[in-house]
Amino acid sequence: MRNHCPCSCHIIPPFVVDKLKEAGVEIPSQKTNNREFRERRDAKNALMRSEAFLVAPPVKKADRFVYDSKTTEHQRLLLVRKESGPASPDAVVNTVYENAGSVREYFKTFLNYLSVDNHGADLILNVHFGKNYANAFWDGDEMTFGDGDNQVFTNLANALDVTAHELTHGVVQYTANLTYKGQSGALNEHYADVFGSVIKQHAKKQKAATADWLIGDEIMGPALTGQALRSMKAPGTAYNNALMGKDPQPDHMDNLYKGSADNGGVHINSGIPNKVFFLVATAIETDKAALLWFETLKTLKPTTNFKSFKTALLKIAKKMANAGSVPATTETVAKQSFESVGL
Amino acid sequence: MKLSYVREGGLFFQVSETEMEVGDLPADLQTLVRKVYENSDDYRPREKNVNLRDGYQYRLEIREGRKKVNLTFGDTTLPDGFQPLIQYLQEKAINDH
Ligand SMILES: [Zn+2]
Repeated sequence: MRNHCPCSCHIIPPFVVDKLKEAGVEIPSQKTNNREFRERRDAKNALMRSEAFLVAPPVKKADRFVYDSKTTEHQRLLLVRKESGPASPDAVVNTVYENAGSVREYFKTFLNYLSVDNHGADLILNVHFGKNYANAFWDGDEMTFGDGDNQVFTNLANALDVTAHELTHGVVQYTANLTYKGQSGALNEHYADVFGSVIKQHAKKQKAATADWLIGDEIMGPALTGQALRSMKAPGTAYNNALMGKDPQPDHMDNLYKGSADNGGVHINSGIPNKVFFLVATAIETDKAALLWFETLKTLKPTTNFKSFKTALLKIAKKMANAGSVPATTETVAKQSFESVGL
Repeated sequence: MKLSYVREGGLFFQVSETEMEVGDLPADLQTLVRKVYENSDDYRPREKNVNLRDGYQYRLEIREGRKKVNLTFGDTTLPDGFQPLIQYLQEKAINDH
């Protein structure tokens, strides 16, 4: 938010301002926030281009920082928990802290990748963003979660798969940087769902055959119990209700969405590769499929479409099968899975 | 003077939209919309955040006679003081639906 008001008023309720002042917190205007965001990003980009970074990358420790937005639309407003620091009296803060830790651990242990950038960047998490804000997002630097409207969604910071989804958008940004439009955008969403589901299955000690393959089922509002944001097993069946409408995800290229809404259907057409991942994971187990998908991600270009994704993935499957890191049948299974969705 | 509002984006595919006479808004929001109409460049975000994933995009169109003002914001570029207007329009969009 930018402050255009000629007076010094703030959108933050006065009682919150008073509490923050008591705690010694300076409240930035959104203009300051935006400037700080640009400065942080410019400094980071300059560092990444520098010779020193390329020769010896600075290694940070992927420390977690949780901020409370106090129902305003300000990010990094009040630091309420940091790495190794004491727990917060706010359960939401502790849950998102633990969930981000689980995601970080999975990427590190199973995929040998540290934080969003593989250089141990800090993991910034904002909770209680906005008023009844029924959404969560990655903005290029950090993750932000609303409390939900208690109709469609409850608090979005409470679900491991949602945190994994948002953090994976960061990982995609620093690897293939898939353009957020059309099929490359749908692949970006697909990867976020893949690791959302994979990390949830790992935490729940589930197998591909027994997992529900739902994304967001734990944040659905009280009247929507049993529904979800997406089903990777059966795209198009996750929800059907008066609040959200009907899940529009296709599970086959015959039904590919070709409109311009949703950046060309990034949250719609991701159903097609999601179904492919489900089929492959069911055949070779989720962790092996996750490894194959991640190694493929590192080879993709920003403009990769579904067809070139298939080509890249089959190439990596062959290589990994030869090296013994995935089952020998993987390439065949993957080829059949792509074919079954019309690719 | 007419005001159109569209919210797109979010974690799943959703579009909310509504249209109304500015004169039917609560007084404080009418003042804000008229200010935006007169000084639209002051409210235009300097840049789009191309790395925003799953965030909302808000599109406002204010028109009177032949003059039309179009503004697009993301969750991280919404001007201060806009939250009550967005909240009002979003609630109206849900009720219209
Ligand atoms: Zn996403």
